[in-house]
Amino acid sequence: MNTTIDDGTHGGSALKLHRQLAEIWATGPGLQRLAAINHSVIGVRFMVTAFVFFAIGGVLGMLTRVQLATPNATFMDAETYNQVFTMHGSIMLFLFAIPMLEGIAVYLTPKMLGTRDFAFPRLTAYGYWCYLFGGTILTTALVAGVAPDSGWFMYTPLSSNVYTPGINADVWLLGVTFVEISALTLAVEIIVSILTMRAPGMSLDRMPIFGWYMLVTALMMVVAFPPLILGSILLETERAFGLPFFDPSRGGDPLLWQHLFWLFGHPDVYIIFLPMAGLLSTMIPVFAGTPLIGYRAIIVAIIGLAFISFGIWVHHMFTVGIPHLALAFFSAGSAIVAVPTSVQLFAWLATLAHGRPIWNVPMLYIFGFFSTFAIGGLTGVMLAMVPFDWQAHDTYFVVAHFHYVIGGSVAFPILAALYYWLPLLTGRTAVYRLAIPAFWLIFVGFNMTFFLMHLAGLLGMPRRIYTYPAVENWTWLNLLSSLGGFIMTIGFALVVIDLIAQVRYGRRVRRDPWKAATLEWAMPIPPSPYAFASLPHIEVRADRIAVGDLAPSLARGEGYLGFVRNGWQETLGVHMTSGMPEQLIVLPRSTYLPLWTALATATAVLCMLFKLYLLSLGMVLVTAALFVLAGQSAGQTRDYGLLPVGRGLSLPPHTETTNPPAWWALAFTLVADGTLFTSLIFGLLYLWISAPNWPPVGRPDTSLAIALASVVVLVVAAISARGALRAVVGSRAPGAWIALSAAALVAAIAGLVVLIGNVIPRPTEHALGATAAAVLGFVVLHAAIGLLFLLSNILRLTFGLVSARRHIDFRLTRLWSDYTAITGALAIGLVLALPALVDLLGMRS
Amino acid sequence: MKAKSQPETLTNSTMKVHKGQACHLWLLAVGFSVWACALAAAYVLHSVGCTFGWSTDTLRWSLALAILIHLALIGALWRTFARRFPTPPLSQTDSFMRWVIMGTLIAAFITIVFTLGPALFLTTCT
Repeated sequence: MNTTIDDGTHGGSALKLHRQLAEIWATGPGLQRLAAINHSVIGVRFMVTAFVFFAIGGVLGMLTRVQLATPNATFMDAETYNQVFTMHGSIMLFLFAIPMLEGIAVYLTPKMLGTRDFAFPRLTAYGYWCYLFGGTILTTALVAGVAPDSGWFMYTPLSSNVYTPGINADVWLLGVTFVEISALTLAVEIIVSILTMRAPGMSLDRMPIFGWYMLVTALMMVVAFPPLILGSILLETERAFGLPFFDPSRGGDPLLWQHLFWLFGHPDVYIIFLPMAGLLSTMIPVFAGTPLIGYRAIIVAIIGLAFISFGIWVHHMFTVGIPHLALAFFSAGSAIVAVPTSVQLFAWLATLAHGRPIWNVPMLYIFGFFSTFAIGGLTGVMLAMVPFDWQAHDTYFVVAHFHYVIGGSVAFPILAALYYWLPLLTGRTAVYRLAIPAFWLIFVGFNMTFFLMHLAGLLGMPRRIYTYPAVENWTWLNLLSSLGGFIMTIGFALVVIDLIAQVRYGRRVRRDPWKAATLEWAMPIPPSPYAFASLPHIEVRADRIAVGDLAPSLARGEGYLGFVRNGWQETLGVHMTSGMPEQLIVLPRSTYLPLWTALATATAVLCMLFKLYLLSLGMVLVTAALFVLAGQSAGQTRDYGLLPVGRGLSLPPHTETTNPPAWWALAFTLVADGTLFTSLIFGLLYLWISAPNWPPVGRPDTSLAIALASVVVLVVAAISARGALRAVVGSRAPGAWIALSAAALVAAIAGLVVLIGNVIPRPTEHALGATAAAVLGFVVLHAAIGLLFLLSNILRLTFGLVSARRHIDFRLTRLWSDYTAITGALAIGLVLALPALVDLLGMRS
Repeated sequence: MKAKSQPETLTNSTMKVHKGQACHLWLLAVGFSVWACALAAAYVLHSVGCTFGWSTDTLRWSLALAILIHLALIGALWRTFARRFPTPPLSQTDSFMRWVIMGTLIAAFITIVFTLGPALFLTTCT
């Protein structure tokens, strides 16, 4: 990297600054597009890919409606139908809804927060490629006729080896987990970027409401996805290696899968809803011509909503035999979750009532949202009542309910947002000749399709049947429902034609066609790759900004960083709460590394799918090596001290601060990892207390000496990591500490492998042995990753990327080592406690 | 250039003042974390009590005690944060944080009472 220092005083015209910045930030032409890491490029790719998957999922949905349009239909056989409806649900949830919200977040969030990009652009690109490859694996399986066929929530034992012996379920477990890696990486990225990379002066109370929604959503993702990832890993190991986590004949329990799935599945509804609510909260004030009412109340509501959504996962399991008292906890929670949702709805209605609403196409879709989401919410409260749920469970009433909730909360806001932000994306205004009939076709078709499903469900029609007899009233309801589906599809087709027409023939606009007051409009449209030529200083709430005055000033470079220096991609890092600038963040340039890393990850997944486990392990190591390699191309080879950032302020580069974005990223990654660990412990204790065939025949037995020795060496590794950090800060050689830490980790791995090898009962014989092995395996994995951290430390020392002021790598290693030692001690302690826990079972009533 | 008023000259010293006034972000999650803890405690107590055949009274009073402890904790947090943020608050950001933290505490208190309280009057393990 160029090490000369430019003092940053180069001024000049807006055009000159634009050319200088564009040269640094632009993605190259041709094949270089594969190296793109810019948030605008990746955001658009996410959204376009999600729309493609939406189209595929939509076609599958239409196929189910063709099959169900008439009784005793032979359009599809049961086998094909199972694959089609499973893939319809899986694609809409995992390949459309979540990636779409991620795409919107990636594209819009940096712009709304007044920064130039996300904190880890290479991670954004890696997330996109993982999503694309994971989605491709799933859809290719559909074409090959081996798609998942056990329903989108993959209940065991239907998805276990006995009832699904082919690779259908493996495709789902591995493909969806792959896509979730993408979601988790982006969630961490979104959190860190929102917290540390806002425009200077944008304290939390000045953050646009969309920022709050995305922050809460991303935090939910960090905690919601790990239980499903764990469940998928456990089910895959059961299918591949015979570990009986969900097999009741060997101490497992199918209900454990349901718990793990819905610990993800229920919050997921709100993970999808909240960003859409964020879009609505941004658009409605613009069309109402007045600021959003209830900003603070909405923030309290979404925090409450986020928590409560996790606490009501059991309402998907009301019929599995849980005692009344526990059901009441979750029934009441499922009812009260309507309150924070309603706070938002009433805030939007109050905003509209307080202003002078302008009727426009986005507003049509917003009202489409109001009506459909209200119906979905009300039927949700009905289903929260246990007696009603017992009657309606697994009927078409539930299908109708969740299509209203998901359709209402996703499809209509997304279409509203699409028309609202289309000028930002394309630089052209909308032509509404097709947009209005398209809306009415979608609205009428949607309600015709799904409202009638309520009635079919109340008449007793179960979900997931591939055909039905000519029962009176089912027939005409299904026929009309299918007809509605076709009307809705014609509407969506019109939207696509409309969008193509607008991109091609729309009138060009300069900026801010809606007279909005948020920062994404304070830039030329379509946006330049650097987003802002200079960064604003925010002194009012960031949805009340005088965009017309601010934008030309920023373009002239009158804000922060209104210059170029050393060819660096620069932006600013701020204090989490106050928004005061703290560091100069230098972002990486375009690189093919994310693509190669995602390809290696995809190969590992494919090898696992085809049971080439050694090759898969090799590709996992290649993936890890590419991550370590990525670390070597980040950072500086010298200390810079304070550098001018404009407006009379000087800041240190992020490499010379104590808590740069990377530290927070690891901290939030550990939150996700800790959730997975907690879910694993929950799984073990759940089986202990609830599963049949406990206690096992053989009493658990663990070598106390090896177990304690393993804990000791993990602690030694953590202490050594601290010693290495102290040595670096004190300008001493950390080599001896690194060597000691590595030796301790190797010893811990060896000890834990011996413990796993001697687990009683054997992991394939009883779930107790399987879960004990899984808990110990978790520690082995983390100790091995600790070795990668140490390897990275050595490489960065060798390349001169570390100094007494540039020691973030060693701080990351310390954090990881501490975490490994703590979770290791807990895991080993639990395994040691297993004999006592088994003895306790003898006291059961 | 600024969003509305004239540019303020930022220096490293003024940054320190702003940082000193700032609140900790995690406080926003405290209220509902207590609710989550209360729910987990109640669910675990109920599972353990039913599995090991606790008497109805023992189980019911255990659950009631767990709920009361969490309600008391919310009360203690309320007192703590009421003292922590002086009136009038130091800054607009502090005022905002105080409002949201107090809002989440009230909402969490109500949520504990509503979601966990009425269930105590139901049959315990059937």
